[in-house]
Amino acid sequence: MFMIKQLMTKYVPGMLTCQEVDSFLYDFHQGSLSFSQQLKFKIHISMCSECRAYVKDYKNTIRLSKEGFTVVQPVEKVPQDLMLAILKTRKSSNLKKITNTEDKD
Amino acid sequence: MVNESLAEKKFKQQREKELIAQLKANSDAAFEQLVKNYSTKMYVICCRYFTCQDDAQECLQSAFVQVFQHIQTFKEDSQLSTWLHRITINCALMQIRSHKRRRDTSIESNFLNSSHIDNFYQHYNSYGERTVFADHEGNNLETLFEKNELKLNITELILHLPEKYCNVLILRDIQELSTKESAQILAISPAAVKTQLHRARLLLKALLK
Repeated sequence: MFMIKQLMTKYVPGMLTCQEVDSFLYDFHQGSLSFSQQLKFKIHISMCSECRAYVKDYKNTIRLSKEGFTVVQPVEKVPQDLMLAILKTRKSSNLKKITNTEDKD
Repeated sequence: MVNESLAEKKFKQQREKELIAQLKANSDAAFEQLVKNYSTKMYVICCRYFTCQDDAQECLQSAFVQVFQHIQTFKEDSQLSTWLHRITINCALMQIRSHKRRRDTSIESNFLNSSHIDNFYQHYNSYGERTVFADHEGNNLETLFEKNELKLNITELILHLPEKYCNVLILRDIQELSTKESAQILAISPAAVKTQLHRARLLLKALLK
C-alpha cells in the first residue's frame, strides 16, 4: 500500500501528496475548498490511512481546545465592591488629570 | 409589533447617544450608569479568557480604565456595546500576554518558551509524506516534554503557544469569533488569521501528542 500510494502520487495526474493534503487541510475544515479540490482531497484520504488519522487528529485538536480550555464560571452579577473599585479608579485617575493640568497652569 | 420594536430600538439608540455625550462631558453619573449597565456583560467576556476569578476581575478593571481614558476617541461608528466588547477582548489578550511573558522568563519553562516552540515544523520526505514534527536540530516536541517531565493541561498548552498563535486560537476556536472579527481585534489581515490559526492548530496538535 505504501508503494502504491507513492506510485500513484507520482504518476496519476491530479493525485495529491500528503504534503498537499496538509496545505488543503484548513480550507477543507472550513468547507471552502472548490469542488475539484475537495474531490482530490477525498480521494487521497480514502486511500491513505495516515492522512485519515492526521485529519482526525486535526479535528480532535480543535474540539479539545474548545472543550479543554478551562475558564472562570461567570457570576450573574458583578460584585458591588468591584464596581465601586472601578469607579474609584476613575475618580483617582481623574484627580491626577486635574492636578496635572493645574501643575501645567 | 414590528413598529413597537422599531420604536424601542430607536429609543435605545437615542439613550445610548445621550449616555455617550455625557460620558464625553466627563459626567460622574454617566460613568456610574455605564459601569452599572455594562459591567456584567463585560465581566462575562473576561471570564471566558481566564482560569481564575482574580484575573477576570483584574481584566474588567483594566478594561474600564481603557474606557475612561479613551471615551473621547470613541467615533460612534459602531455601537457602544461593540466598542466595549472589543476593548475587553484586547485587555484580556494584553493580560494573557503579560502573564505569558512572566511565565516564559520563569526558570521552570525556560526550555519550553514560546519562541522555541515556533521553531517546530512538519517535515516531509521526497514523496511529500510526513516524517517528523521537529525543529532544525531534529528534536521533536514529544521528546522535549519527556526530557523535562512536563505535564500540562490543554489550557496551559494553549497559553504556551507563541503569542500570535495563542491569540488567534483563543478568538477563533475557543471564542468562535469570525475571521473578520478576529482580524479586526488583532489588527491583522483575514489571510494572516487563517495562516496563524492553521499553524496554531498544528502546533497544538503536536503538543497534544
